Amino acid sequence: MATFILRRLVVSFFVLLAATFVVYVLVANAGDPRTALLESTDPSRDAKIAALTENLDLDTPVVPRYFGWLGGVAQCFVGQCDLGTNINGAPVTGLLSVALGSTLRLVLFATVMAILFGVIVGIVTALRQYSGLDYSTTFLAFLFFSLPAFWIAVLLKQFLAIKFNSWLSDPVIPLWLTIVLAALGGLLAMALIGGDRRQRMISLVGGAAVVAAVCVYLDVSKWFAQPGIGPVVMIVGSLAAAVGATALLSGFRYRRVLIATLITAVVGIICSFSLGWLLDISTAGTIIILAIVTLAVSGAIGALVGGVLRSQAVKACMITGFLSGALIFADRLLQAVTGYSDKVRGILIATIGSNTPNFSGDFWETTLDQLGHLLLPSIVIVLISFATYTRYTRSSMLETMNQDYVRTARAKGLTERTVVVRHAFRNAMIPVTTLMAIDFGAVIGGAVITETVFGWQGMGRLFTDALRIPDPNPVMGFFLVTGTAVVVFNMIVDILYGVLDPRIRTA
Amino acid sequence: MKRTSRGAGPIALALSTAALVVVAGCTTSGGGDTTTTSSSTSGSASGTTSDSSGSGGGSADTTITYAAEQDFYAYNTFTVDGNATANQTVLNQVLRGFSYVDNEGAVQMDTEFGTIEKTSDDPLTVQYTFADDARWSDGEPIGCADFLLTWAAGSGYYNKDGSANTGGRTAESENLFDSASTTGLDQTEKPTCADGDKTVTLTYKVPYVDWNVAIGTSAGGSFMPAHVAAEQAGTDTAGLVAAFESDDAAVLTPVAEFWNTGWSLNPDQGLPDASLIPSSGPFLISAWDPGQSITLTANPEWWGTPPASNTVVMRFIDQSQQVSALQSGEVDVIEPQANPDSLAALDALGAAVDVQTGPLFTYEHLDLNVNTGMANEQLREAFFNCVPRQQIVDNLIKPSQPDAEVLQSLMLQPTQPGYDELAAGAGFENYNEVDLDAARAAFAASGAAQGTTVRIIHIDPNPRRTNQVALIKASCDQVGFNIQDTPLASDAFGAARASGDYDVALFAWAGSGLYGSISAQYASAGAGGEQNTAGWSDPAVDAAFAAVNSSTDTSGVVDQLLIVDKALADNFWSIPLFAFPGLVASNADVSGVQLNAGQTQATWNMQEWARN
Repeated sequence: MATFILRRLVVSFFVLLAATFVVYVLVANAGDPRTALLESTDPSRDAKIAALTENLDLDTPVVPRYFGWLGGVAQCFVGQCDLGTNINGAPVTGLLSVALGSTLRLVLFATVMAILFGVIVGIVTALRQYSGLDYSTTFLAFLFFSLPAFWIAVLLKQFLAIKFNSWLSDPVIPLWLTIVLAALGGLLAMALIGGDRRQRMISLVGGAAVVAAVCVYLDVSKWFAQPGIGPVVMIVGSLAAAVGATALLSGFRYRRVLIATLITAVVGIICSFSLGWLLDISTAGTIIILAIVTLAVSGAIGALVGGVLRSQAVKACMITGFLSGALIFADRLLQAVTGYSDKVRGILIATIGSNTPNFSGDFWETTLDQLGHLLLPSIVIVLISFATYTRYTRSSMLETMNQDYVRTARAKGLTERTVVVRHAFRNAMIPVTTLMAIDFGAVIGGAVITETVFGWQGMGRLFTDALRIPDPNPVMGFFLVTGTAVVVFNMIVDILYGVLDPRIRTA
Repeated sequence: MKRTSRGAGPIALALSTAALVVVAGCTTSGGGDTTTTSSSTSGSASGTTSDSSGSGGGSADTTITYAAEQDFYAYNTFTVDGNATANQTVLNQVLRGFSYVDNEGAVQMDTEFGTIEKTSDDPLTVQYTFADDARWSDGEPIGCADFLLTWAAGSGYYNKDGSANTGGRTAESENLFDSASTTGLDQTEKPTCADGDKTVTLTYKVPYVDWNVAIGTSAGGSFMPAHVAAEQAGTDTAGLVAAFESDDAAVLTPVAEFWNTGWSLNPDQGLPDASLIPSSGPFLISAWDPGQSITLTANPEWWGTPPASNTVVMRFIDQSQQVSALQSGEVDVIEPQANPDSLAALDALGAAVDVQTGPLFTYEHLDLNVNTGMANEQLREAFFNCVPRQQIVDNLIKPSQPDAEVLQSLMLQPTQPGYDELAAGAGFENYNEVDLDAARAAFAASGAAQGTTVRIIHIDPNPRRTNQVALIKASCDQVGFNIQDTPLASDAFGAARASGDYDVALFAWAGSGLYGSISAQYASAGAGGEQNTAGWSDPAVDAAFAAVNSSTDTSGVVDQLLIVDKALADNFWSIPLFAFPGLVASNADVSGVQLNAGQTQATWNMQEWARN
């Protein structure tokens, strides 16, 4: 394995080196950064052209200029990176670090979301193959995948941000919207639950009724003017999390796991009513500590009560604890909305930038501010990469479900839950994991269109702005970082494969 | 806050006391952190507010948000690197000076900052007097040292090797300061003043027409805080003034090094310490979030009219996204690209926004090269008659600027004082519409063969220019020309134009509003016309430019420029087409926003922006 990694490293290094040369020559021939000065009548014209020529070494032929640049890059090995300057004389290293930070915040969050939703939906559609749900999801996934990012971004800005923000000033849910939402909810319930004709009709009507009731309640209680989760949903949600986690991890045959998760849920509910004061004075640090304490306490409950199925009980309790904690967190966050909204003149969903300039508020308000700015660009990125993940997971899951060992597991009499969660799911995840790793490598390159439309000065924006001039050093800096990321993550994929799949390790 | 604690009894089961202690401990320390950060930001903000209400009084406690296209990167706009619109946009009301070019291209005196007085015409002598209470935002008085520093940078008096050009600059002189320009100030005597003086006198060796914007102006070198540069070089303003007096290179070299690079910003490190970037205007830079926004707040030390709003935030937003940002209320003032799409999108917003369109200083024109294909005067006349100027404006400019007109002068721009006089007298008006009969007659008189090829070079890619050439071809090919569209990459265009390798060049000049910068484009190559590669030469034109450049009184300048415009039209040398359209839009509840035709963007009068 070590020889293999080493060989890969050396080869990747030379590939990267050759690639930088090709890109450097291409950028150098893409145009002259002095263009904009040609039409200037300013007295400073000549001085500026001379300075630019000297700054970027434009009088030197391309090949020696490349080696000059490479010499600066080589200094990175001694911690003295010199990636040159852009046409304004600003060092590229500084530009890169700002752009990288911005991109990581935006694209990382969105990619994690895309993976989470993509994998869940992929598995559900695989288990309900050729159902209405499967077809609808496939249709939607391909629809989103083929929508141009700039167009969907503009639509989101118009309807989800501008119209929604102004609607919030007088939040009345019109009747037609209630009807449409109810119909959609009914169809979703029908597709999810399945069954025979009678059961489908019941699901349809039931789902529609529930959604309609929620809409009417939200409207009548003016929920949007004073949002929050409320005690009923909190209690029901926590208990549902307990039941769900148990169903997923151990089933109900052995009662102690269910008892453990229910205890965890009850503890969570009690905490939610007694710890409000703590959340009011919280910071990011306290939230992290609270999360760790929650997991530790839930784990302990699972370990104490779990009995024979201790390890499943611990996991189920931790999931339950985490979900009730998330509910409490969301509740407190929603309560901060009214105050936040006043501070930003009602612009709850932002269309531009990564934060409101000079915004100051408590932890909850700054979190809302960042989420409000992340929401739209994240949706765009999620919608686009959602298709890849659902399709990949679905096909991988289907393939695994048809394997002999799954049939054997069923023949042994294992429950469907055990078959899916323990035998099929894990093996189905192996190819998806490699996709994730490669995707993370690509994340560093940023999302050019999304960043431009939503005003994030990320890597993609840095690259396109520089290429338009063309400004060679930022382009090369971008290429160096993204190229290295792709090489590194490809290697991680190779290693991960070995770790996940013992057959490859031994081969 | 709504969720109050309801009886602490049941906690015992859930969390051990130890965990609570840990959490509580972190809360206090973490909470302490937030309190300090928020109090430091709000503290400085409230400090500013109370100070400004104490001294100025007039600033309303409101924030106006402006969408800028490009991020800020240098506090010194007089260096070669820092001299850019992106920085000037931010610094318009941070570094004030004796004069500025207003939004119509007229030079205005900034009497709040100080006064300029011409005390003699021969030799041209100008006396600068700083306002008595002129001071930097850190309290340091503005005076002699600041003037000398900017003069030293802008005159090129000191060389990199440590010597001084006591006898005037030579070709070998290499300016110790990397200033963007030395035009004007390089012809002045070294001024003398004592540290703390509020009055400085500048004497010119030769007369200079733009003397009123030569130093300390938005059009050229702003006054930079000399006390900051001196301190960075290990001295003080008295030491700096003495070093200028004695041409002491040992002191001046580190000062110049700081002047050249010390005010460049690195996004990695954020805004420099406030003591390095003091303000001499109504606003000071209070925060910078690289790539996102920059915040200007009212300068409590500003001695003039306080700004109407005490905070202006500039957010860096791509031009294509500015309209939706205005619609969503995240910004109040935008300058998107003037094109039919943005205009239509703004119109759709109705009364919620105010939209202003108008001509900018950048103008498109056709240069006819008399050394090559356009050597024959009748051929040029035929070309003048067949270029569809009105049609170009109607088809390509009016969708972006409904009141656009054909440009009638190459000297001045439509908003500038004196333009109407030039437009009426220059004679370009005769060629607004295509006159095919006159063109055919002139073409026949020239003796040129039918299908004479004329290459029109322009920078590619640029769809608008491709369309212009297509319109010209459709019209002129009927006369007998064979117009050949020759799009060139920018570097090839630059080379072709510099060497005169073209028949007709279609391009734009970005005007500056200064009279002294016009001659470089239109005077004979031997008489200062460095950019004149079309071979135009007329003693009357050269004499007119000599008169313009050496006049110390601008009242006669327009008459001289009329001579040049007439010569360009009568000799069929160059055809003005249109001024580039400009667009500024603002939230209807913000007042005081005005379109700026120059390069300094709408922020030129941001001290007047107010929320109603």
